[in-house]
Amino acid sequence: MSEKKKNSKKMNKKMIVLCTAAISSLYLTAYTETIHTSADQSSSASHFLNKSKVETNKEVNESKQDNQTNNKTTSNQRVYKDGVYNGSGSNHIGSVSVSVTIKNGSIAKVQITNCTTSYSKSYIDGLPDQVVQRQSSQVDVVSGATLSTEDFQTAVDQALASAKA
Amino acid sequence: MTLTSIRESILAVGTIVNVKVVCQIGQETLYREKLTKSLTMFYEVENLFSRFKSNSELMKVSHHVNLPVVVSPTFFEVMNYALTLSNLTNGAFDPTLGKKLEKYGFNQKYETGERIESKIADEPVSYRDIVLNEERRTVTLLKPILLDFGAIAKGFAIDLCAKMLAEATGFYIDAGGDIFVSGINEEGSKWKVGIRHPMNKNQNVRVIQLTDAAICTSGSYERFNPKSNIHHLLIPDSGRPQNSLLSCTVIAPFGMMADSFSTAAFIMGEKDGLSFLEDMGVSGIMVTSDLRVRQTLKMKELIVCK
Repeated sequence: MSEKKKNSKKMNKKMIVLCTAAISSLYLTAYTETIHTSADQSSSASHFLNKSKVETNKEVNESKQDNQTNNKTTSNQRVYKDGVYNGSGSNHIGSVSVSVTIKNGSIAKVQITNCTTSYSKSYIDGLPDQVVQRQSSQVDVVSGATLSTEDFQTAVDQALASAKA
Repeated sequence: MTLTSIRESILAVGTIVNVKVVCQIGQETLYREKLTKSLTMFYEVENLFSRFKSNSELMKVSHHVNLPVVVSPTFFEVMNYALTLSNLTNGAFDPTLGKKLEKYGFNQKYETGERIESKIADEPVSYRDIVLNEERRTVTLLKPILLDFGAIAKGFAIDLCAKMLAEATGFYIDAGGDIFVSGINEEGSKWKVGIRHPMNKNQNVRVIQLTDAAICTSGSYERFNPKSNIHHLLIPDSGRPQNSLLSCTVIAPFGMMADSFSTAAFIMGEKDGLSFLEDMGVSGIMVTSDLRVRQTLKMKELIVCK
């Protein structure tokens, strides 16, 4: 019994060590490369968001695709034109808007810019409409089985339609 | 100290990722940039482990049988963790279920809804058919295997994202219900996290208060395949879904641990799952299919509202 306990304690420690090794591995190797690409990506995306959030189907950053040094995605079948595209979708409970960033011909980022469906709004706000039993206990965030993203598919499809090269 | 917060939401790793960062007033611009950068970790993880991207490292490995494939250090370490857990749980956790999931209809790209089908044969496989060589950093598949890291990648992405936000006063990362909380919220207290009621999405079965921890839930209630009407939590031995539980939530120091442990414990079921969590020294809470709530002993300390 105590042997078993000791053993599981050891296993728990081992799992923690393995987690730490996995998490830090990315920082030891590909990290500089990652920072490089992600910095590029984020600046272009936020630039777009600040400047022209309300415009639809606007295209930016087209010239950037050629001077990418780290071309991680294969570009042999370029379906989409680089840029940032907006799309929205709605159903009977509300609407959602997304902004899709295309880089090197494929989807680099899908940002949720607005969401008013009753289903996802409470979710995105991190505040459920009500809490069981004690109304006063507001929570910051809710853990649950992984949400599906079906609500967002129409919005993404719409954005992608305008990104077709 | 006056606190404020910023937030960003993206679609990634097949779900909605929502991150909130608490910082002092005046630091918003700095943390806005850090936040956007930290979110790219989710795409980084997709490039490594997505079953839905033909050029992910996982797909590259999946296409070689009986051939040692040199992989990136990160891929190797996560694989090593996954196989260690598979061994530890006698296969309750198993990263070789990709083909079965695909067959049951879990093969839709979240961005476009496009269905994909790998050319990998469907034969009985298990984690025992994977061989790692630490020295050469290779992975060898002894049979055709479509790897699936669905029970670990999200948690791992959360860990990477959390690492990049470590300096913030506080933050939470919410990847579609898998969560990491750190530091304090805007009110200066630990984070209050609801554990969703499996049958009613606006209700919580419990509310816990904690910080610097990952909270992941495996549940059979959100992802159904309309064709087969079955959920995604398959028992590796039989390839059939586990139906004795509705949800299993685990609190652990790392996202990848909470994510994978919650899946493993879910598959093991009520009794074995709970004792596994107790043995591993982590907290957990389960909702059974007849709506009973079971929890580990330590769980009590975290619960603020029942």
